[in-house]
Amino acid sequence: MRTAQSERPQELKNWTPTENSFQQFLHWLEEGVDSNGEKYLEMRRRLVAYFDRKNCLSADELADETLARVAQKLQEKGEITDLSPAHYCYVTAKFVFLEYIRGGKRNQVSLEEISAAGLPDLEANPSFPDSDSANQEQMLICLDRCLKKLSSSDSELILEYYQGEQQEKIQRRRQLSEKLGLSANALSIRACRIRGKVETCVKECCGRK
Amino acid sequence: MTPPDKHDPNDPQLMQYLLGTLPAAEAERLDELSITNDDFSWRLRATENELVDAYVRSELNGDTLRRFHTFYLSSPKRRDKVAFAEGLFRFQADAAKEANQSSDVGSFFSRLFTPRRIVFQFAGAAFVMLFIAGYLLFDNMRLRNDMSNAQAVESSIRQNTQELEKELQQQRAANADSQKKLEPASTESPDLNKLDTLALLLPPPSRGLSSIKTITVHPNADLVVLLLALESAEYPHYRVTLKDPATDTAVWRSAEVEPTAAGDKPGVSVSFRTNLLKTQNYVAEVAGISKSGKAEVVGDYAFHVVVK
Repeated sequence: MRTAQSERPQELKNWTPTENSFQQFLHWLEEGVDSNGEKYLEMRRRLVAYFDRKNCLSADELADETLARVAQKLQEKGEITDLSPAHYCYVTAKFVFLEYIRGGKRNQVSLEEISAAGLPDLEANPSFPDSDSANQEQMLICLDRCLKKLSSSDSELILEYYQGEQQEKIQRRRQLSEKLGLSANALSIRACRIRGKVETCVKECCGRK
Repeated sequence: MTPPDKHDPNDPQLMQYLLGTLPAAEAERLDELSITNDDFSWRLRATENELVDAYVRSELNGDTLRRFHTFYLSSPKRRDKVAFAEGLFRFQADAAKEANQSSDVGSFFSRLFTPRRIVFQFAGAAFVMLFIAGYLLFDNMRLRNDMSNAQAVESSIRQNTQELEKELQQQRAANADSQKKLEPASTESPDLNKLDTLALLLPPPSRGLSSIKTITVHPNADLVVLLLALESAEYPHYRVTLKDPATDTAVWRSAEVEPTAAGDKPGVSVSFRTNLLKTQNYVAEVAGISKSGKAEVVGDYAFHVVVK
């Protein structure tokens, strides 16, 4: 877990998670079902997305701070039973966000600041700023590499699921769900998982984090 | 993780949430669900993917497109998601283009050798082969049958021939024995010029009563020559048997002789020693011998002998 030491409350600045406290935290987060660390990664992802939607530029650090505070609280109290692990993480994340926006360093970027910064008129030029041709080629190379890392069934699923437009896409997904024997919801979740895995792989391949 | 909230938002609400246009209270509620509710969390991710894909495919317009530009793309992480979606879209487009090119090249062959056509072609070939095999099998059986019939006929013919040959040999042997038994001297060829012979010409037997011819035999006579006239010479050979009519026993039998002329009619001429004869009636039975060896009595010639 990464921590933003400079932004933490004083009483927490001296706390360093230990192996035991981390294992305790994982066990509590998984609620007795061993997920091999997947629950922790999923919770971290949700927290990062939460802070990102709040337009926090340091979403990763804030997510880590949230998880560290929860782990510390668990270690101090020994157990947390008044809220479920997910709810406790959310409540902690809210406090972290409130402290963040009330704190001295405001990393949040407002819409006005975006306009003032003279960013390109995205409405006029819908092409993505970072999507220059070199980056796109690199993206395609990494995408091809990461798709090949998948199993043939996963690779086929993700390419088939996101193929086509509008009605054609709906038809393809219906046929795919019938072929795999999955409900539409189950198929959507599976496609999301695979896409997320490929996205992470492509980011690492392209050198982004 | 807590179970799904009973007031799950719909997709348009999720779109507003992702574009930052939802009222604060509602947005806060969805903030909590995004972390605490598994189902909502996945729905939100799927909806965000659909939103980004729609932008990449230029399916967004109006206020949604403006908001996407001004709000969604303001985050580096969200810009990374868009870049990934663009890459995925291009990857699929390139793959589809390659697939179309290869399908054009192979379309001719695929039309010619469609799975359906191949199935029909194989079925047709299999049917023809089956028909030929069936015909050959039938013809083979017919030929075998003909061959076995021919062999049976050949065997039967061979057997019949052997039986006929055996019967012929038996008859010849019987004739030879009979001839030896009845007339040992008949094997000799008497010299008529040196012997004292008596001749008797007997006409063909008639139906009505007729007188019996008599031949007087002197004790010094050696041979009696009978000349038996025939109505017609139907047979190639004849045999004459001298019988005692009282006992119907054969006294003498001739060899097979060919017909000769007896006056203006055909006839058979035989001779035998006079010492066979007594004073009594005799009958000369004439039998025609066919080419197959079968004997048929053609006439009985009666005559009286007086020995003085």
